[in-house]
Amino acid sequence: MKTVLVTFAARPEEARALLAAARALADEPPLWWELTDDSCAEGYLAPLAGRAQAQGAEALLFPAGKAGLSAAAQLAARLGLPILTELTALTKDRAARAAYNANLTAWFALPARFVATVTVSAFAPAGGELPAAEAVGPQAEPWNELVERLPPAEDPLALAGAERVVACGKGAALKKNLPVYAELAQLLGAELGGTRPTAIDGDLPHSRLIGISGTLLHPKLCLALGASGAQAFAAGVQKSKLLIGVNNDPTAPLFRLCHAGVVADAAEFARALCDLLREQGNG
Amino acid sequence: MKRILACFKVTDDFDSLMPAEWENLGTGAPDTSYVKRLLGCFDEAALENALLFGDALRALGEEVELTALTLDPGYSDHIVKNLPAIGFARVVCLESGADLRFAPEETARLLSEFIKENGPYDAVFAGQQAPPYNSGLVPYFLAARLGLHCLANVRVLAPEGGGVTVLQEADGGGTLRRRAELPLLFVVGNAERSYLRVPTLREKLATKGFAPERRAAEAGAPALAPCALERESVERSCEMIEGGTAEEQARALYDAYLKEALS
Ligand SMILES: Cc1cc2nc3c(=O)[nH]c(=O)nc-3n(C[C@H](O)[C@H](O)[C@H](O)COP(=O)(O)OP(=O)(O)OC[C@H]3O[C@@H](n4cnc5c(N)ncnc54)[C@H](O)[C@@H]3O)c2cc1C
Repeated sequence: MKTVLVTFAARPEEARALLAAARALADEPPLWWELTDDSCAEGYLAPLAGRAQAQGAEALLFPAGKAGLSAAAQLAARLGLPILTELTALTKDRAARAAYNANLTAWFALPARFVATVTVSAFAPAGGELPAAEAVGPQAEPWNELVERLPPAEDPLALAGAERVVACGKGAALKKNLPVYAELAQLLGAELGGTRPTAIDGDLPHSRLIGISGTLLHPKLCLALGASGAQAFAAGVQKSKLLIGVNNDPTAPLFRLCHAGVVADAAEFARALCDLLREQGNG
Repeated sequence: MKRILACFKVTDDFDSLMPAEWENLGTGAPDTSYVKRLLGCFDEAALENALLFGDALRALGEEVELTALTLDPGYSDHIVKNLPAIGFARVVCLESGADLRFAPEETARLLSEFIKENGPYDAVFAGQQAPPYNSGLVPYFLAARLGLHCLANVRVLAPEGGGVTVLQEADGGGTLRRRAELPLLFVVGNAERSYLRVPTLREKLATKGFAPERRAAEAGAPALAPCALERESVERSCEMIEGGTAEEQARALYDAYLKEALS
């Protein structure tokens, strides 16, 4: 199968994950096209479609994410190819992704030619040599103008790489209690993250969202407070080596995921734990 | 006159299903007959941002017409009935009755047929993804079928000159500020305003007796349907930490787990 990795410049970790996916899919070494910038997918459609047709590409793999989805989906529509997104597993003839808010895994039989986006964190980066990258530049898109690019307010990978995480849900009542959880995170040497409601209510920035639409964590310790444990969030914390849940409802689904659980008011418990950690000299 | 259309999907509250519902499904759907029907969270933001865009255009003296469009909404009266009260002059429900759970191409085709027949629209809004597939593909296929340029990951938008300025979320958390000309399709992501406004009693009374337009739509087969749906879950035997007060619980958790984890 003639496979092509399509990545964005200056994001080397994505190429190695895509290479791992390509190796699961085909024995032949893939081609690698590197798009010079990730700000407007439409500019790349004509150059990519031309190359894909000229080279007889059978599988075009993009990194899942905002820019990857935009480019892959529009390219599939232009080429009239089937597309699968956010793949978490690949074999020579099947591919998997989450469905039903991560309650189920959907398996698909692979068609002869397709476009796909691959969940980078689901594939261990491949070792060995990467194919030579061919740089692909965009065509002008006069219908729009990029006025400015504002950098993220904080390190976007802080949560993804964290060894310890304090994860707050709606029940943590962050609006009232943010300083308590911030102190708890600091005393534990942890990053602070949250569920979708905490992000859409503006209590935490979107870069702090944990789950299928945010970051999938692999920390040593995760303390989840006031989260129900909905599967879309659970998918983001369930790979924690030690997962501890705090919820005032003993029947909360969160506890089914956890190694240890505490039935308590989240803020009250967080305050008590802060006192104890201070007393123990943590922080 | 500016014409705005927002696509939305009504889905089941999958978070409230009993765990047993996910077992042994083959490729079928779980029984969701007893859970709430909800607006997809990104579609809720798409509807609200279409309204906000309309408000901003009106403030500039433009006349605005807003349409809300959905496909196979199922039981959704509690959602649909409020849409005229908050400003949608037309609410259209396409009814295919088909299994379109994993059919973003067909979904986009059916939506695009209505839009082409009733268009042109200056601005089309769609949420970035919706359950159960969450493929994120419908807006892009829709833009391709309508021949519209699309702006994805939209957080905020505002009219500017004859066009629009948008803030888009980029990979890694940065923000792109972009200017573009209408017509456009906006894919609404983690929007700054993501809750749909609630109608006042007066607005509700003014649109009492409203019924959405229902139109038959004929769906074809999905391009790629799953060959299996497998249960995805981690079940652990959680050790519950005892204690009469939060202090006692914190101490017990520290001794049993945290001390070692922090060393
Ligand atoms: C397409 C899609 C993508 C999604 N992606 C994500 C995602 O990436 N991440 C994500 O998190 N969600 C995501 N969601 C939403 C997800 O389905 C849930 O709605 C969300 O995770 C629930 O957040 P929560 O646990 O904070 O709130 P709730 O479900 O409302 O739970 C609050 C919990 O707090 C407990 N509680 C209340 N008061 C207290 C108190 N005083 N002390 C202790 N506990 C208390 C309650 O018992 C309850 O269990 C997505 C949904 C969709 C449709």
